[in-house]
Order: sequence, then structure tokens, then C-alpha cells
Amino acid sequence: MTVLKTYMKLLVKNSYAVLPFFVIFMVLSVLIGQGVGGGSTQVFQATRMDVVISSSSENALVSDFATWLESQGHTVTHTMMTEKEAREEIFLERVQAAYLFSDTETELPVVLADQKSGAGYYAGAMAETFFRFRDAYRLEDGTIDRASLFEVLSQEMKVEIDAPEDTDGTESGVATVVGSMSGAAYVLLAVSLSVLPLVNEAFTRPGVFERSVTAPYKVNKRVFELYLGSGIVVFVSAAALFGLSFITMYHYITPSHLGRVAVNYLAYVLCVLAIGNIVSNLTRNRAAISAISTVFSLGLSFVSGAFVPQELVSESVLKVSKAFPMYYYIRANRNSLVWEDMVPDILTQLIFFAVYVGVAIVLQRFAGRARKTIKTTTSLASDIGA
Amino acid sequence: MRRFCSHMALNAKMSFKDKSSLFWSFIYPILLLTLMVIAFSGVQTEQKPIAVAVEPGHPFADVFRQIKMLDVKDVNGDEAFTLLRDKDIDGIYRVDGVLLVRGSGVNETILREIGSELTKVSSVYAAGRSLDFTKRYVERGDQKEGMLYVTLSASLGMFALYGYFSGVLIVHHMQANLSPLAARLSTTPISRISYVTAGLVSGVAMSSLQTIGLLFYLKWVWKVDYLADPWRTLLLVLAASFFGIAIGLFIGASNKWPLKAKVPLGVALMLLLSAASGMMGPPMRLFIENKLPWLNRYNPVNMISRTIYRLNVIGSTTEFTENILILFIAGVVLCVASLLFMRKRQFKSL
Repeated sequence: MTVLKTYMKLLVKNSYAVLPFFVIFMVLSVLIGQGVGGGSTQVFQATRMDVVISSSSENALVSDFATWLESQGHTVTHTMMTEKEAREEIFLERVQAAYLFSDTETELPVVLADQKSGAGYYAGAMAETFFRFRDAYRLEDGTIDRASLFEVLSQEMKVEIDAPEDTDGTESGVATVVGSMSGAAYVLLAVSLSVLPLVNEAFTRPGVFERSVTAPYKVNKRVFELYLGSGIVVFVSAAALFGLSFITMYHYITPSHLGRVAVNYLAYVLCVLAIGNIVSNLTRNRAAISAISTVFSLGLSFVSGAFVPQELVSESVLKVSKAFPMYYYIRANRNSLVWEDMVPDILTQLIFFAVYVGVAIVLQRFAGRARKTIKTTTSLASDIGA
Repeated sequence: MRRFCSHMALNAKMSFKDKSSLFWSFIYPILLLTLMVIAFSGVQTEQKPIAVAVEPGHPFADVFRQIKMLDVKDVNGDEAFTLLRDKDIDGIYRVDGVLLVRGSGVNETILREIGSELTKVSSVYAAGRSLDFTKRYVERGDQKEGMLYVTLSASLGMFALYGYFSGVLIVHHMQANLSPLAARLSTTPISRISYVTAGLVSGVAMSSLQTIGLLFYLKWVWKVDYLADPWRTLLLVLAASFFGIAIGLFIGASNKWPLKAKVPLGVALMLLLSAASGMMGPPMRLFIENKLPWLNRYNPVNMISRTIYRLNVIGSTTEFTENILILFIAGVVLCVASLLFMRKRQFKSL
């Protein structure tokens, strides 16, 4: 177990470099998970918005509209503001929409929102509906039949949430699981792709490599212990990240749901371990390792929908992301309410794992041959004093 | 002055020769921005029609088909349930007047809103009144608050601070106990203050050029204009670059950690700050804004990204002067502290 011991010693020796990096990424994982925490209810809840109504004078139109919005559960703030100030409020995400009423009756009220988003459409549609219905209940003398208006406006379509019998958990619970486990997936990939190749690189430095190949230590055993060391790093990191994600999830998840998520996570961890070994064999340049780990982990997380829901990522990009296991890992978490829905994605990840292991073995052989050739023709003989 | 210029040229030359610096300063930002734009370009399109199934015989079936916002699928029974559970549709308008959905999202809310509106419309007509569908009641003002703008501005804020790496390198060229090159340089009659100042100036210039290059890249290649207010943006970029290098100088000089520890530390720390600023999507930024508002108020990446967005998208100068002053003063304080750490001293052994 000399190689494994050396592996661990290298980690401990470089802990001052690894630990702050690790801690920062752990914090990042917790924050990503916390950002998507949701409620756990089986009852439909319409989207509630924080809106601002800006009007210089308190007239009946504005007050009726505000009353109706509040009756719909939206949080309404009355304040006088310019369009620029309203844009600032929306930018700061203090409100999702601003209704700007002008002084003159002839000018239409402005609904300020991101019109390309669902919330923007909803904000505009609500205002349009209200004013149209209000207009319909205008009496001949110009006044509004408010009682009838509000009676009609209170009519809502009945909504039920589909909960299949074999479902275990809630949709909002799934949103939390997807958010926190995606954060863990990104961080695990970033940490593993940085740490594994760096530690492996230390074993290929001149001197260490020559001593290793001339030592009476079986090559297979040496490789196995290197893999064991990598496995320990990845699985310990994965366990720590799973624990941190659990802090976010435990309110919204049942034990069996947690079990399914854990199985999916295990399949993903295996893939990460294999990718880490591929990168270890691909390059031994420290700067390149840092670059690859950052670009690959962040890029893959963006295109696979780890930070934003997959439906928000463009179709063509999602097609590319299907070439990597993270896409299937996230999709399995999204389908984690029903075990049968997860199985195909978990199996796909296991296939990726098998392929990656194969690639890593091939690369290991090629990398080993290349090094052996270079060393035997140049420095090895003199290094060992022959 | 000649010595200063020669130090500046030397610093710039060393930066251009260092492949790692070139990667982190130029290639990585372009790669990441490109990935972001490609990944989120779908978000910028119009709200997609919401896929929904309508059971045969539903009183509003024909009306639903005429609504542009809805993508009505002609399926019923078990097939509709399967589509709902496979997330291919967002809801089913059942013949009994109930809307069946999967969860409580915006799409489901819009479906309910449409269904409710039709119910109300029929009540209005039943009461002998009529609705005017030809009249416009509101003006829709657009706000470019999409995810792409938030993530891109946060990334630009992060890259504007990448002068950090130049700052760390300057110290590693000067502190005798940090690198063999510095040990050799410390035995030469090189002016420490001139070398550091020259490094600072060339670093600010290179980092600013890099950020400006990224702004032009976004404008010309991806049509995302963060140069609507070029002069104020330039000033902000200069202040941000100066602050980034000052952090690098401070972290480089204040401890004996090797370069291999300081570079990943900088990358990870800036990722964390930019994630808090919204680079990894708005939910995390909202969480920080709600739970730890002080963090984002003084988060340099957030200060820079918000100001870039405000100046160029909203056309507002709110907090501009304040943020520039904070970045500049903090940069000066960090530089002074770094110089104190880098003052001449004797080492027992190197």
C-alpha cells in the first residue's frame, strides 16, 4: 500500500492548497441548493408576484386594480416612481412587474416586465383582463358596477394536481432535489477534475517516476492503488457534498425518494471518477489541468442545465449535452418521483461509466508507453546511475 | 522614467509569454461567454406556446385552439395522462371544467388564468354584457431582465477582476522567498517601487483591454450591447481592473503560499462571488439578496456587474460614482498594505 499511502500523504501535504479551494466550492454547492428551495404541497398554488403600482393620483381605477391584485394573492406596493426607477426595481428583482399609470386618462397604463418571460406575459395578461372586464361593467352614467365586476372576477377555474399512485414525493420537492443535487454535481466535477490529475501528476515527476518503475512493485498494484486513492478522494468529496445537499433537501424529501436520488448520484459519481482518470492520463501540465477542470465543469454544467431548468436551455445545446452523463443525471433527478422513470437515465450513466473506464485504460497504456520510451532513451539510465 | 517604461515593457512581455496568463485572461473568458450565450440564447426567444391537452367535448375546446399562447394537442384519456407525466404537456383541460396540472409553475398559472378568463367571459355574456376584444387596455413595456443579461453581466464582473492573476505574478517576481526568479532579482539593484508600479500600470492596461475586448466581442458577435454608455463603462472597467490587481498584490504578498495555491484560490473565490451575483442563474442571487444582502452590496463582482447593466441596459447612473470610489479606495488600501508586506527585508535562507 506504499503508493496509496504516498497518494494520501501528497493530499495532506498539499492540503493548504486544496482545502480553501474545497471549502469555497462546498459553500458554492450549499448556495446553489439553497437558491432553489421550494414548498412541499399537493395543492395548486398560482404564481404570486411582487408588483409595484405607480400612480400620481389615487383614482378608482388604480384602487380597484390594486384590490383585485391583492385578492389574487399578489403583493402590491403603491409608490410614485419614474419608468427608470421602476426598471431599477425590476432589475434588482424586488418586483417582477411595475404598472405605471399616467396622469391623463387618455394614456394607457404601462406594464413594465420582461415580456419574454412567463411572468411578464402573466403580468400583462392580468392587467388586460381586469381593465377589459371593468370596461364591460361600466354603467350608462359612467360609474362601475363594482359588486358585479368583483363577483365575476372572483370566478376561477378549478385546478387539480396530478399525483400518480406510484409517486413518492412532490413536484416542489423535486425542484429542490434537482437544484441542490445539480449544485453538488457541478462542485464534485470541478473538485475531482482539479484534484485527481494534480495528485496523479505528482507521480509522474522526474525522480518519482524513475524510482517507481525501478522499484520491486507490481505495475498492476501501483495502478490499482492510484485508482483507489482517486476513488477515496471522489467518494469522500461526494459524501460531503451529499451531506450538504441533504441539509437543503430534508424538508422536502421522503426516505425512499432520498434513496432513489442517492442511487442516481452514485452512478454519476462513478462517471466523475472515470472522467477524472481520463483527464489525469490526458495531461500532466498543471496549468492545463486547472484550465480543463474549470472550463469543462462550468461549461458542462451550463449546457446540461445544472444552474437553470433544462427547458430554458436551447434545444441545440441540450442535444450536445446529451453526449455527457450530467444531462442524464439531472434528468433522472427531475423524474425522481417515480423509480421507473429514472432507471433509463441511471443505466445510461452506467454505460457512460463503462465507456469512460475503457477510454481511461487505453489512455493509461498509451501514456505509459510514451513515457517509457522517452525515459529509456534519455534520462532513465543516468538517473538510476547505470 | 526610462526605467519605469522598461519595467512596464518587461511586465507586459512576461505576461504575453506566460501561456497560463493568456489562457485565463483571453481564452477562458471568451469560451465561457460563448457557452453562456449559446446555452441561454433559447431563453431570449418569445415565451413558447404552452402545450396542453383538451378533452373532447370541452365547452371551450374551439376557443383554446384559437389562442396563440396555447399549443393544443389532440389527445385524450390515457394518452393525455402519459404526456402530462412525461412532461410533454403542462396540463389537461378536462371536460368537467377542471384543469389538471403537474405542479404550481408559471405555465400552469397561465393555463389557469386562460381557463378562468373564459369562464368569466361566459358569465359576462350570460349577464347580458359584452367585452371589447378589439380595444387595447395596456401598453407593454419590455425590460431586458432575461437570464442571459444577468449571467453575462455577472461574468463580465468576474472577468474584470481577473487582473488578480497579474497582481499575484508581480509579487512572485519580487518576493525573494516566493520564487527562484524573485530570489535572483532581489540580488540586483532593481527598484522595487518602480517594478511594482510598472506592473500595476501594465496589469491595469492589459486587464482593461481584455474586458473591453469582451464587451466588443459580446456587442459585435452576439449583439448584446454593454457599451451603450462607453465612457462611464470604460471608467468602471479601469477601476475594476485596478481593484483586481490590488487584490492579487495583497493575496500574493500577505502569505507564503505558492503560486499553485493562489491561482486556484482566486479562480474559486471569484466563481463564488460571481455565482452570488447571478452568474449561475437568478435563484442563487435572489437567495443571497434576501438572506445576506450585505454580502452582495459589497461583493465586488456584483458591484461591477450591476453597474455595467445599469449603465448600458437601463441607462441609469445609480450607485455609479459610489461603486467607482469604493473600488478605487479599496484598491489603494490593498496596494499600500501589499507594499508594506513587500518591504525590503533579509532572509536567513532561501
